Amino acid sequence: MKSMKYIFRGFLLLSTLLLVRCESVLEPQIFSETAPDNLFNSLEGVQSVLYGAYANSAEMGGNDCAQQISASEIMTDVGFVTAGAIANWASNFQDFVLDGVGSSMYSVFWNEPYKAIRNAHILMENIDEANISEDSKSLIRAEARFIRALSYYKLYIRFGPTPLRTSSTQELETPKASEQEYISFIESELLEAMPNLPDPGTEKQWGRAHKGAAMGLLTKLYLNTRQWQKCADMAKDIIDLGYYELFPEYFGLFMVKNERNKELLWVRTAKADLGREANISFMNFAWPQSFASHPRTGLEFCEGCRNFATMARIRDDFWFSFHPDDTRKDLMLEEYINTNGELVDLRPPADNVRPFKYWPADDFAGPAYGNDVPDIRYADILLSRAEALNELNGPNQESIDLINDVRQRAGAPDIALNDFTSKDALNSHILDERGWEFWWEGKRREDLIRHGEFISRAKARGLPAQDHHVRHPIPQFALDANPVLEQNEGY
Amino acid sequence: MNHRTDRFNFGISTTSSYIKDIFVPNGFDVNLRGGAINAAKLYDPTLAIRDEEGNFVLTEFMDIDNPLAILTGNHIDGNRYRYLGTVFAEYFVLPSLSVKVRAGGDANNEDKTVYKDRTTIIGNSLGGVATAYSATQTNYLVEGTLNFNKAFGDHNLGALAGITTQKFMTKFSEQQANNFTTDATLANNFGLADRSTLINNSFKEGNTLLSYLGRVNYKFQDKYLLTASYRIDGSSRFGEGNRFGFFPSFSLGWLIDQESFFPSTDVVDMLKLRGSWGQTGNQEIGNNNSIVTFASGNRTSYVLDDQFVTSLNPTRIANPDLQWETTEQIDIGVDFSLFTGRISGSIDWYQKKTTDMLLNLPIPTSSGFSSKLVNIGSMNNSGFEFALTSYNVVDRGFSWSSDLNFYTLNNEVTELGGISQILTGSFSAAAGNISIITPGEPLRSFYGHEVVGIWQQGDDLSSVTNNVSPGDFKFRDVDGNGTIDGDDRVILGNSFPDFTWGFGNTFKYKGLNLYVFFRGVEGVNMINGNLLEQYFPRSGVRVNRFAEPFLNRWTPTNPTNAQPSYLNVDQLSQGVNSRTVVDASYIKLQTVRLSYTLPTRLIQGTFRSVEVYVTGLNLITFSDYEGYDPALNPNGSANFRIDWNGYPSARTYLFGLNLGF
Repeated sequence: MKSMKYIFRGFLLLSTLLLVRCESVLEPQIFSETAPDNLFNSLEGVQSVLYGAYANSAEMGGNDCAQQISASEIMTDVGFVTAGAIANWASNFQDFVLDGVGSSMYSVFWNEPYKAIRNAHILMENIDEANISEDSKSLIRAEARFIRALSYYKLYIRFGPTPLRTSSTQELETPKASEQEYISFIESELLEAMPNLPDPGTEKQWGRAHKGAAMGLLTKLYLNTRQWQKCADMAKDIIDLGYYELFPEYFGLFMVKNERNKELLWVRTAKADLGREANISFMNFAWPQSFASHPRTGLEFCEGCRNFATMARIRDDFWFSFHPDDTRKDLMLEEYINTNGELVDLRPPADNVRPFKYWPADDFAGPAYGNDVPDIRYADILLSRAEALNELNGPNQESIDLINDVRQRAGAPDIALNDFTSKDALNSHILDERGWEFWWEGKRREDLIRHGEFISRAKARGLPAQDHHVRHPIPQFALDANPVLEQNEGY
Repeated sequence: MNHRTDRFNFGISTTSSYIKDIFVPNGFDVNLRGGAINAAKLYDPTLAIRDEEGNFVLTEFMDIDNPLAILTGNHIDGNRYRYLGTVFAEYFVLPSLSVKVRAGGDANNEDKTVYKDRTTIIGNSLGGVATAYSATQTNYLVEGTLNFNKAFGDHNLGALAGITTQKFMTKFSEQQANNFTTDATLANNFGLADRSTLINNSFKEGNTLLSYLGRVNYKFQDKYLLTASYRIDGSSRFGEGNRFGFFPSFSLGWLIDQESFFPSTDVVDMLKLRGSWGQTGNQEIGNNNSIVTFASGNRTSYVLDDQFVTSLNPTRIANPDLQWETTEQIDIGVDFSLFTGRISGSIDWYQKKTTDMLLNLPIPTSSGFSSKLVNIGSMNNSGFEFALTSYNVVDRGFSWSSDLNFYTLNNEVTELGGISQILTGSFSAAAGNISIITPGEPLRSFYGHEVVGIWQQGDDLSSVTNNVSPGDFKFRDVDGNGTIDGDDRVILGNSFPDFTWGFGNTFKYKGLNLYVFFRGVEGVNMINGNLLEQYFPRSGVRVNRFAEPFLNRWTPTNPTNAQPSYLNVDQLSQGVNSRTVVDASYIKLQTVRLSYTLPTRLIQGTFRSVEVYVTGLNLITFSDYEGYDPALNPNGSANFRIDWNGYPSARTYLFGLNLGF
């Protein structure tokens, strides 16, 4: 009987323990995720949030990069895509349907920059408390500003002004900012970030922001918002850094082996892996069917490479517009040998020349390739200054010289000042030059829009393009979730 | 195992199980992620399976494996091990009062290996890809209760007070590699992979429940029954200060036939009235939703100096105010038995009112997040339940009995905390949000465009700004502004059936026994994702189509309003419409079972009983649904029915022999 008493007491004790433990039992336990206070305890922690911001701003996961660049390019006179899963992402843009619903790219275009902006806010709001050196704080603050400016710039190019959030605590339902407010915000962010960013080439690692990148982005902002004097001046400042130069040959500029060259002010970094964490998969669209090899370059289909059903193609008119000596079209394939050993001719009139800009490299894994994707190149800075000076002063020798710098690298003959009798004539040449230089780099749409040619050329191709199509529609999901957000005019 | 003495009661029970799974790739997605059924639907039926060299023939129009290669080239094996055990000890302080402690555990181990061999597109490209997962889910429970039970003359009183706590834990790890020396070892030897491709990942999370409970049962003269209880439930999933919820309930029962005033006739031999009211809580949300955490996500890595670096992103907008979702339920019912048990059954009316619904509220993605888990709004579920058993013929030689049940459900969102609507839900065959939550309508009603016909030659195509041609779907321009867009969406139906029913009949003649069971669902809608994908194929422009609708497609010489021309894939944005949200009502002959039990005299001395039977399951479906089976719902959520790439349900025939020893 005595043992029973002990057991009974044991029960009582256990029940009491349960009661006493009570509330603290329910404190959530976190195992694999990280709480913010741990994160801002160390430089590694803060940097991991920063790298998250960079990754979001780069849009390099899965097929995002290939589709994002292409969705922009296929709205222009450069090229188009056919077959495969294009209804998923391309048709809505290519066919000028632009309904804000029918393409998976709407979420990439809208959400990815805002994810980068979110991380930038978190960094700026928590870094004062972080247990890291003052130098690190001011550098990371500047990098966060750069990423935020870059992301808002991307949104602006796609949609025009969008909700301008500048902190995490701001009201969730925010209307669009005014054009003026939006542009000055991007400008002031970059100007504020610049002094605290390292000089180009001295950044801690390739892929992190530096002065050159911020200056390049500012040049592009001024260019696309037609602030010609500022654009010309900023481009001049970059030239005067004396750091940047054109890579000697255009053909090798986009190859993995020539990454990190001095023409590149800002790139979207890539590396091939199974999970396609940060890659460009554009080659999968570029390979023609049953590609085996290419006689002119000796390129062979890499074993294990993928060749998607979707085919990216260059329009005949664009292909014909190149000067015969222009090496910039050497990155287009006009014939190939297929797996049956037959030579296949892709030349006109089939609209079937293939864009091989992101030249296949040894760095690939299945559909993933590791080519860094140039975002801002020195050639763009030179042509931006040429364009701005022409806008300010009409045809002038400096513009011509800058253009010839770019042409000489490509093996195209020089142009002369007396070839151009008016501002419009030179402007029109600059638009062509930019087309030859930057085809399939995702810049053609904004260049055509700036020159007022985007809609007219689409109409000339028989498309139902309308004036308001210079801006993408605000995605339907964004309107669905935000009652104070208004659709862009015309839609 | 149980041991009992006068004052002490002790028991242990354990069970364990093992299940081996072999999977077929099946996905709720497009392209290579779609799986075998998706590929079989879309592949050119005219393509050979293999070429002269024995390789699988691939279409050049889509990035999808040959359907047979999907079945034979993906090797997916799983093993599930489960161990369950409880131990309890009860000590009787008095004959009517005991203290009881119970402890239990449930451990689930699961491992799964996937190998894509070189006959698949991905396997060929990456030199074989292996993935090995292992997951452990455990939960344990500790419970202490004080129990009281005593009869005083006509009174019978029971009471219970207790405390329970339960802890759940999930662990997950995976490794993946490619470029294997050989396909022969499948995913069983990661040592044969290219080491530089090896990826490892692991994850762990957990949550805790803690409850205090009290309950009183009271019975008077076996006529009046009363139960009242009170629970305080705590969950670690909610915000600080909101972790506990308070849930009272009570029920009453009255056996009228026991009353002296109740006439004793042959008609009614049992009649019981029941009524109950109670509140219950729901905490079925993910862990950590009330707090800010950071995690590394899929495809969010960054590359610095050509190396991947660890990148972290915030996982959510934390909601520290998260609390229990509460459902208040009223149930009034009658149990009856008539004609000395020949007919018996029950009728119930119920109403469930759910408040503080736990919903993922879509928020502007300009915040960097797409949704926030909140307690918002309320909804009502109400309906009748009806069950009847009838012995139609009871004879020594032949008997026939019937079972009928009938269930109705009305769901309505009653308010949304001031928000007029929430547009939510998507799946990758369609575009955009496809459902709406709005007061006055059932939860997650399908939301899309109403088809008014097909554009015909001679129609004024300029009456809409959208780019349409004859043969395209013609949608109702709800706001009349000349543009078909998101503002023209309407409610197209919902996933809640008007009623469901089951009807079973058993016939017996001597040793023969025949059981026939029908069941049905009436007045339910579903998105026919397979049909939607036929109209707007996302994996490729040129794909195989279902013969029946496609052969009746619009052409200049067949100016029908029944089917479009299938040419305008850009109408994908209006893919969820009144042609693809369809009625999924059905009647199924679910079970037929015929058995024969041998007379005992034949088997005397050898067996206690011998029964031979044949059973057929899922035999016939009566439905207007165009698809494999209107009962399929590969989307999983019962309140949000979408049929797409669903594996056809099996028709099963069983032959068997039951031997009793």
